[in-house]
Amino acid sequence: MPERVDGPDDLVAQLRERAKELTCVYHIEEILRDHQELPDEAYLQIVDSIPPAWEFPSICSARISIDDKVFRSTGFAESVSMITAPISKHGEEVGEIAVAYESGGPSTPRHFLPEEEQLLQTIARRISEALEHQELRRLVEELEHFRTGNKVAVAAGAHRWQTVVELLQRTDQKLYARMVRKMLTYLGWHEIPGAAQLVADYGSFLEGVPTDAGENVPQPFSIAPDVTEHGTRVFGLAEKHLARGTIYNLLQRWIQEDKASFIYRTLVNLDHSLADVAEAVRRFVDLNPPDGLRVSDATAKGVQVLLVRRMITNQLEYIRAARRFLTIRDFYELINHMIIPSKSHGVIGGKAAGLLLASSIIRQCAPDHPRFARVNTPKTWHLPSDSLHYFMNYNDMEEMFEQKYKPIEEIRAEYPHIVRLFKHSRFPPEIVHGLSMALDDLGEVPIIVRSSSRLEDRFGSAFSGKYKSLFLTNQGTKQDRLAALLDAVAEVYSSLFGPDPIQYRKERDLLDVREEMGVIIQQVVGNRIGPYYLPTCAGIAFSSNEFRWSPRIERTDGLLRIVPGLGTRAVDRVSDDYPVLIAPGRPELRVNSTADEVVRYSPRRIDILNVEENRFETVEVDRFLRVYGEELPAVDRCVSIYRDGKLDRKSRLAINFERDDVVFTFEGLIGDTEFVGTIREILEVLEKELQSAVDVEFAYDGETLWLLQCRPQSKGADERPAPIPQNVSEGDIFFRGSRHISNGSVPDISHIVYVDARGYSGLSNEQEMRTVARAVGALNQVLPKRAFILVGPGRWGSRGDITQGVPVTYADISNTAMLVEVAVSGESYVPDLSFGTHFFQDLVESGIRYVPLYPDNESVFNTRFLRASHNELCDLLPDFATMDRVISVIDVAKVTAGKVLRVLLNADINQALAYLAPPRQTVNRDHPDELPVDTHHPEEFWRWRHEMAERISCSIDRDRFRVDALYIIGSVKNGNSGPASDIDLIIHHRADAEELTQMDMWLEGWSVALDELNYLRTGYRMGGLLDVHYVTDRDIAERTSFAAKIGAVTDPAELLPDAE
Amino acid sequence: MAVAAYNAFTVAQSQFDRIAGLLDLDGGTRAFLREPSREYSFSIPVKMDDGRVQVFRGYRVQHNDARGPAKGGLRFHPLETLDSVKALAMWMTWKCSVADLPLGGGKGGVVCDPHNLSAAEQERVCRGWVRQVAREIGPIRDVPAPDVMTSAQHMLWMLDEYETMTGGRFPGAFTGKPVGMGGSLGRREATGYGVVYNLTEALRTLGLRTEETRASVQGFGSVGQAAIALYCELGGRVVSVACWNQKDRRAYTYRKRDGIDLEELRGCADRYGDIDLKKAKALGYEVLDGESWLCQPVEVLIPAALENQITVENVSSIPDSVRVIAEGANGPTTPEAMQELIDRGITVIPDILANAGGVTCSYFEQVQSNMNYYWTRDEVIGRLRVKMTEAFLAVADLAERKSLPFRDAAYVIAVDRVARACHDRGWI
Repeated sequence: MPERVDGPDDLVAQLRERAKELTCVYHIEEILRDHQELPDEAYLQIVDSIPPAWEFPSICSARISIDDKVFRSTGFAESVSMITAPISKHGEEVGEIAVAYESGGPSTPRHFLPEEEQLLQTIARRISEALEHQELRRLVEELEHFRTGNKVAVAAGAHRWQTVVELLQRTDQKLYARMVRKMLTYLGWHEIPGAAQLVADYGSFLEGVPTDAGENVPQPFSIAPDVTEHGTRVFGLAEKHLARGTIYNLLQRWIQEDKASFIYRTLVNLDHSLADVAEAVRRFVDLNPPDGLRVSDATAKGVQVLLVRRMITNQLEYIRAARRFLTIRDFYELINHMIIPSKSHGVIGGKAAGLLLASSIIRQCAPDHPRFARVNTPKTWHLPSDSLHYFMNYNDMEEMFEQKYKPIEEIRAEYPHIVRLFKHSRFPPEIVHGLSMALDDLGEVPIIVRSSSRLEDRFGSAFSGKYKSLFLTNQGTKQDRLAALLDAVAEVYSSLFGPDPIQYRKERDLLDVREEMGVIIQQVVGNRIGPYYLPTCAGIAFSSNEFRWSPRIERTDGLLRIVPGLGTRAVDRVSDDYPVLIAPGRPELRVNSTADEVVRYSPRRIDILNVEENRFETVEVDRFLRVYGEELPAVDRCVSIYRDGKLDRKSRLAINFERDDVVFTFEGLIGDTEFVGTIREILEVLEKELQSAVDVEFAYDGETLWLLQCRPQSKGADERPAPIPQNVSEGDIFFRGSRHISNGSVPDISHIVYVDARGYSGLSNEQEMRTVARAVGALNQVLPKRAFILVGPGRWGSRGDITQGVPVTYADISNTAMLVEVAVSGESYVPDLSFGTHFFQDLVESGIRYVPLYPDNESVFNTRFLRASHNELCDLLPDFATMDRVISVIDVAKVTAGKVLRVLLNADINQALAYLAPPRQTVNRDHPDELPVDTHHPEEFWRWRHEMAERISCSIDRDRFRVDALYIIGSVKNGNSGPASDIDLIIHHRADAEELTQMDMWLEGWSVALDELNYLRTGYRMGGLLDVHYVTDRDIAERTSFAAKIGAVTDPAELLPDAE
Repeated sequence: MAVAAYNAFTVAQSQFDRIAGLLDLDGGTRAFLREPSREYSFSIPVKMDDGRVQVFRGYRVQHNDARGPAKGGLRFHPLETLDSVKALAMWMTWKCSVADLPLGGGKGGVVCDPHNLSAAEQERVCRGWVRQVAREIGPIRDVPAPDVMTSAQHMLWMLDEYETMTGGRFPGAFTGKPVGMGGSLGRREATGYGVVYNLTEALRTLGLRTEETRASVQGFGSVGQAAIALYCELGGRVVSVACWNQKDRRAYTYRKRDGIDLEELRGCADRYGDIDLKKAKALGYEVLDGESWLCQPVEVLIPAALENQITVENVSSIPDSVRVIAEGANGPTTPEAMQELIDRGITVIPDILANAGGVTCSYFEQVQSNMNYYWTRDEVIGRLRVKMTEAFLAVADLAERKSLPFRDAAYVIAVDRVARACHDRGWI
């Protein structure tokens, strides 16, 4: 046993001892620093490094006990010469550290130096600190796992929810408060005993918790309690009643959801600009990794809806669909393709909104529709709607907004000047910068600059084609391209002040709406062919077919208008050319059946971009094909060869473009590819998801189908189902039709030309029949354009056997508003009518309506009116006076004291009605199809229904049927009922079976009576107008089915008033 | 209420009665020729694309085959009636006869609207039609051709069904087939050329040389263009052409006093002969009203567009310089106008004769198909010229000898030839 040496070397020895201690401390410090977690080796290293620091290292050994583990240095044994120091964590002892001298060594405890005891304390403290640090780090990591939703950690950490709460309380008081609030709500919702008391104690501290006070009395004031104390009670209660895992999971979910709060705060605050919104979206997406957004569905939906509101529209119909399909990632993509002026609060506009939603629907439905995987949308950039205002503000042009209140003539006169002015104005630098970026991204391919105004393409409003769309070839230096783009954007902007859109808005009472115009800049789909750029074909597809050429085609079969090259010729009606028409549901039934007809009505011209000359051109199909046919991708699918009265498809190798008679028929595309099927599927899916008939613009580049635009199917007055009033007196009805009726209306007909069936068939020779046709042709020239209708027997335009109908050509009827064919009853057969097939495509292109009338019970034809009316034929056309037995011309106003003939067509209920009615206030002959029909404003439909629902609510015998309350839901509550909507009622009752039956009968009476009233007003018969849902107290308590609507957070049922 | 409703067949019968009166035919012959020899009316069950069965009514009428196998079109028409088929069959008998073709007259049809049928369903209708009448038709009995709403494709389907049933190759069983599938060259221009062959003979009988005449043509479709081509080739000068303008929905007359250039005009027309107004103007053509083609100071008028173009209202605007009207279209002149033209001494080559080039070429197709050897275009055109010239001379000769209007002379010859064949065969 070594002896302590005292004496002159004492100081040296002491210094040596201090150096040993310091070495030890450093050593241990290093060990602790090297290990974030303390593994067993670390403890072993520590125990080994302790003895050398002691006065007698050779007989010294150390031991660390921690939790259940013990680490010893070599030869450790407890002895009388031993000192210990506790290791603790958060003030709790978790182990100890001991140093001992071998037995037989210094025999008293005093053998340890005071410095040594101090050293041991220091080491113990450092280890304790390290452990605490380690614990803390684990907690932080756990919290992080918690926030990011790492499930792996959950099971392991379930028991540690307290630590999480504690940490939150220490580090993030606001988040802690929100967690407390959520937990309390959760407890209250699950009726945990004691929760109610807590709610009552802290009620006013929480949002939306009902108090006992009446609704018009302010809630009692109370001081917000201390959050921590409150939190302790809440979590204490939770601990008592909920499983540890549940609490942990709840906390984890809520913390997750809370991450979205910043984006919420940005979106809800309308002061935040679009740029702020964009920044928030970027941050949100960055925080949520691309492999899936880790927020709950409700959170995601909430954010989506807010984004739709901020960036697209407030329209509920749109939001309804957008909520299900537009993801936050879609918005992320959108803002990355948006030029955002720093203070902008704009939206992307109707056209952009439609395409965005449609492409998102197509993408998301792709798993169920494999063909959709091959449908694409071209790269698109957006300028928000208010960038127009920045542009105008920058150029001091604000006074231009008064333009719309000027007289229309003035607007028309000044418009060219405005266009010039706009084109010579300068853009704010940030927009120029943005457009320049967009150009770099779009590359050197042709682009189209389209308007996307807020009014355009809204659900229920047909505001299409009023503003400009401009093609740019986008070739040359960057500077030239940018200049051309700026010029085009300015021109699109200027179209807001054009006379046509202003007139249109005036007619619809939309003048005072703050019109803004977004702009879309989109790549043009196509291929470079020679000097040209064009898609192989393009067109427009309608999900609802309003121009059926065969009774075998249903409305739901849709309609496709397809042309070679750019789709412009399919989208607009071009009077001297024809798109190929296909009903996607019945592609085999063509408008034109013989080869000659097919050729006759095939596209003759083609719209293309000449990139060399930098302009938009229309060229002859023949000429184009002769030179460039060979190069057009998939040309062999699009053309047929006409030879010897026969159309044949040939492979590209077999076609001689210089010599063959090549005609665009798209036969191969229709028959051999999935093209038509894909479009049909697209239409079906979009119609289903948007709950509205849609039209879709598309292009095909030979390989891929591109979606260019989607909007609710434009329904000008000529394509909207017209409500058919049923209370028109029989004497005023001219005819009724009930088969193969399309949609539309011709509101102001001044003249009727009627060819009498008996008179016509009584003609003794073919010669006279041809004279009738010539007379009709002459009337076509003298009667007011689109203000007369032609009514005649059999097939208008018969060839060959002309007894079957007046042998007119299209030129003879080109100015009529409507062609009516009256089937002449044969002895044993119902005759076929022509459906206008002799000039069907001409009728379609000029918007002439067609109505077939069959001689059955439901069709009424007022011959008495015809016979009683003066025939103007002899006065109008003295040359044809001899035909007055056959042809009657009636001036409607003259024989009815100023009335007009109004024809209303409704395909939904398959009814047509022509009746005499007073003329409307304003008549615009140039745009007869653009005026609202009659006085049937949609608002009327819901207002009336709502009133009726209120009456029911007031008159129902609440005591007899034991009714507690009536609520209204659905379209009547939301104010968007149509003529065929029913009234959805929820009745909260306590009736027994017998009483329920009686109540049912009572309501049935109302239902039938209302249906009859509605029928008289609109012509729709639903078999009962009420849709009643009964709910009981229990339903309400359990929030089952319709009961959930009562007091729901969104779209809650509306309580109807009681009689009192 | 009129009862005497127009019926195509009764009109055809009364037309025949008038000619029979001129020929003073005996009662038996009249009775026999007033009615078709054979009428077939039958059901064609067709499986539709959706699995339903629809039954269509089919007809074939052989009016007379004393001079040879019947020949005539096959129509798809939703309001087809047996009466209209009978009328058309009779007209075919006269048409083949006036061109002196060794053929009889027939016609057929199916009551259907091809606009309501898919291509596959139309094929099944065609094959169904053949299955019902295969035994009654064929290259040596009755040869159908395309007509209203039927085309070369329909003929090929029918031919295939017929050949399948009979177990051989009989391209002569149907005409109107594409070249290379039993069709004949020269068919497109046959009708127009036929008009001009008639015309040049008519001018010759009037002592006029074609190269000294001017013409005004209505219609720039295949008949009009072919007629202009041949007429110009023979030295004539076409000074104006009238045609429909789809864009403006009205007709215009394009005039160049020193003669139009066909190739030039073709260059500014689309495939239907719709001439581009601007281009024509740029080429120096005067653009006049659509009816102006009638009033040009020319010797020849060729109406080759629609029926009923020369009427009592406009007939007086035809100048006195006009000597010949060649009816390229069907029925372009109304009967009242015709009477006035006859009174004014204008030669009207009636449609039945003037546009018989079409049916003659159809006959040639039959001949070539039957011997399975096909002529060159020149051979076809050469033979066409011979046939048309002979036909015209016969009619002109009769008209001259008996002082008959051309129209009557043509019908008299036609009916007389058929009546004699029936008699020679000992039928009547």
